[in-house]
Amino acid sequence: MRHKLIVNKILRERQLPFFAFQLQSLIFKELTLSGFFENCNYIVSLVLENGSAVTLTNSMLKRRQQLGLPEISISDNAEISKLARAIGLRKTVKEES
Amino acid sequence: MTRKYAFFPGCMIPARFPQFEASALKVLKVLDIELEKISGWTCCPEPLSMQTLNKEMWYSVAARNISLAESEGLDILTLCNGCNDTLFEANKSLKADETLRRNVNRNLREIGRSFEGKIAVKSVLRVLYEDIGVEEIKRHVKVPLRGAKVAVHYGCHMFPELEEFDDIKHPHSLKDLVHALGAEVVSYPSEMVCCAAFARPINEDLSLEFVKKKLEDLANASAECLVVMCPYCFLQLDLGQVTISRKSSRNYNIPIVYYTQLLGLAMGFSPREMGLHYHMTKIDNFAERIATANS
Repeated sequence: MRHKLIVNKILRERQLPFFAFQLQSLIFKELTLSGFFENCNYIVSLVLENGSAVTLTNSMLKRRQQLGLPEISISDNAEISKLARAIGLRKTVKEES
Repeated sequence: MTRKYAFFPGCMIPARFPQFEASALKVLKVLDIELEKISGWTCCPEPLSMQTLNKEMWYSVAARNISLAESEGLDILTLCNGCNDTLFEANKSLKADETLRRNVNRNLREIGRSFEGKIAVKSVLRVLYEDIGVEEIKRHVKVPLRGAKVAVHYGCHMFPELEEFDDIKHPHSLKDLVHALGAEVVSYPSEMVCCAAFARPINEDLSLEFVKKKLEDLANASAECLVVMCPYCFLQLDLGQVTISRKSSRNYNIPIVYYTQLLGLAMGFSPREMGLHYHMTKIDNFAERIATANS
């Protein structure tokens, strides 16, 4: 019920168009931030480790075959890792997580 | 005239919704668009997370991806709103801001690359609307979506690019493309409201309230299906719809489709060829009605 009230309040008080970043700041006024940063760290870690934010599953490999799509070439994360080291991101992500 | 682009499929579409990729490849081929597969792409990176943690890294990874297309001398075509937001914004900012470009190129030197600012980043929406054009799309319609009431959801991450070729307060490019297929485009009050997909991992109930609001509006507008351009919006609205139905026993049954899937149906491809059978909210009734209307 509380969520419905928040959504209605947000929609009532704002003019359209109403974008994610506006919504984000308004939601954060109502809720905790920690979950958001946990999720950010998780996604960034995936990108640093795999070069991709989404892990490919066997069922999706099969679906790609059924659709006649080529295999996905595995991303080479070597250059991303080098960039992360040069910028100091890997350290930040590890400290956060 | 064949047009050629560097094809940037992103992470989410190839790994979660390859049916969007398959439909895009099929319809773009019909429209004489050649897509070059570039090796070495990584995540765009995703617009929210890396930018929140480290904006310099976000620019650098995006610039690296752009530099791969630059080395082929091709503009980038994206399928995902999120990828487009990142690559479009990074490309624009890096071209405009010399200091930023210098800093990012200093990072790219570590991996033997550089950003030159020589190419454009375009969404599939922009390519279809601007480079191909509504009239050319109409010319390829074999099975008009006569009598179909279709609504659109642009998605937040489309708007930075939309600002360059549409009216962001009253966008019409996607509506024009849907109308070109013979469908009636219906408007609804929350059309421009975020789907709140980003909030789902943080607070599912809150994020689903936004989905519910949109579904209520769509049902009141008698929309038979909703067209999206973004895999995250799709996930939120397709899966979210099922979750809401289970929780509340209210069944909206409004299929969510990616634009190139709908275009494919109008071009005469089957729902199966467009991968529509993989969706949680089934489009069978809608597709059958279109087929019957044209038989």
